[in-house]
Amino acid sequence: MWWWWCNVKIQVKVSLELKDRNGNIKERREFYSRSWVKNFIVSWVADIAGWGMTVRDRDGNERSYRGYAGVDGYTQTPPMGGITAYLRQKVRNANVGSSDKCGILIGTGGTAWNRNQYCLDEQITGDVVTHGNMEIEDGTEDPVEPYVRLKRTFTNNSGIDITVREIGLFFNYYLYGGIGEVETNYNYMVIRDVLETPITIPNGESLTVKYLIFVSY
Amino acid sequence: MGMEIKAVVEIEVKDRNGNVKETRIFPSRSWVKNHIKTLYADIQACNVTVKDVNGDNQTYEGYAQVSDSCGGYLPVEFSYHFRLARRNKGAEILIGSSDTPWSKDQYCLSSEISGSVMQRGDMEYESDVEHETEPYIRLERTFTNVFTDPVTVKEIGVFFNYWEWRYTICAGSESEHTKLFKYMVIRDVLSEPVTVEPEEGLTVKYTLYIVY
Repeated sequence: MWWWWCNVKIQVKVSLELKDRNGNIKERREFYSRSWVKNFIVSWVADIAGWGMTVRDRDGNERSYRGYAGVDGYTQTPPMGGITAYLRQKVRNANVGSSDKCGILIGTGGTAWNRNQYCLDEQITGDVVTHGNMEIEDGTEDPVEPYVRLKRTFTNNSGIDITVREIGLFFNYYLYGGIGEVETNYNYMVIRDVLETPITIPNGESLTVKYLIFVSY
Repeated sequence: MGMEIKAVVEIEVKDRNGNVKETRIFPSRSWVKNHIKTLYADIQACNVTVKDVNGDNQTYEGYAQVSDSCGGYLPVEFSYHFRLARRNKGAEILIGSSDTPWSKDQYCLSSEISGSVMQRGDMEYESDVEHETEPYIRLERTFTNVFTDPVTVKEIGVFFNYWEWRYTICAGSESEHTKLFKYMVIRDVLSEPVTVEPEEGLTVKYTLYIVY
């Protein structure tokens, strides 16, 4: 493209760290993430333009993503003690504790990436590999490359070795408006990376995955 | 290097007959700190402090909430209207006349050119999220020199607006609350200034896109 020589960039780096059951590092890898999927650009456009857009949640369902949210309501008979109405929204939340539905997730599938994907090929669930809490580090004051780092450790207590071939980043969208209205709450994938070489987590060992989203000047 | 989010700027000067006099295309260099801070707030679902265009600290909520109560023990009428937008209640491109070098801590143009000198057209948005190789969103605005003298533009920037609005009626009593602030996310200093003669137009386009 004619704008190939652009400078300022937002990039994503991935690091993997495999530790034995004593916490000793056995293997470490670092590489650039290649793979925003369409959900990311769609949600980004929605935010910037203030539009309602459609993303696919992790189950493949079309979901409304609202860059500009509003709610109108009316009631005549609030219950005794008064009433409180809300409009609440999270759009990109990855601070999801140990949920195996959102945040950094891992899988065994090696299907090649394409940008229309909305989930991992074969996710490894929390009942197979223990999902640690999502950790998010604020590096926005870094003088050279301001960043946000997301991190999660997966511990294999399944009794067998587990081979990881894919990793992904999922955000949570949450919208609640009004009094007693139905919540919109879903998880959607924004990045999927297929590992060039699979990494095996032996039983009792752990894998830490970090996504570093940073600005380079 | 993997995937990247980038920004490119296009500038077009047209004479009073609409003929293109000059076109430039160059990479944007310059996300400022506000941008990564708001991204962090979104991902952590927490509050961060950003600097608005006036240099005041403002709270940007990654978990945004607008609420209001109608209290008491009487059944009374209560109606509400809530609005919320964190990156846009009108994203804006603005222009300025200063060539102060960029720094990531900047929160405004060094010398913004007012709309009474360079009349501001409506913001236009275009996106192609289905683009095969480089899905994008493009922001565009045209400025017309309505002043009597040539105007020299040396800096440009992109601004987002954070907006919370609440309007309620509780037992016949109205209440309104607005939180609105503008914050800069990109500032670019032109390597060569561009001069816009009276009645001429300057169109600035920012294309934010992903490269795979």
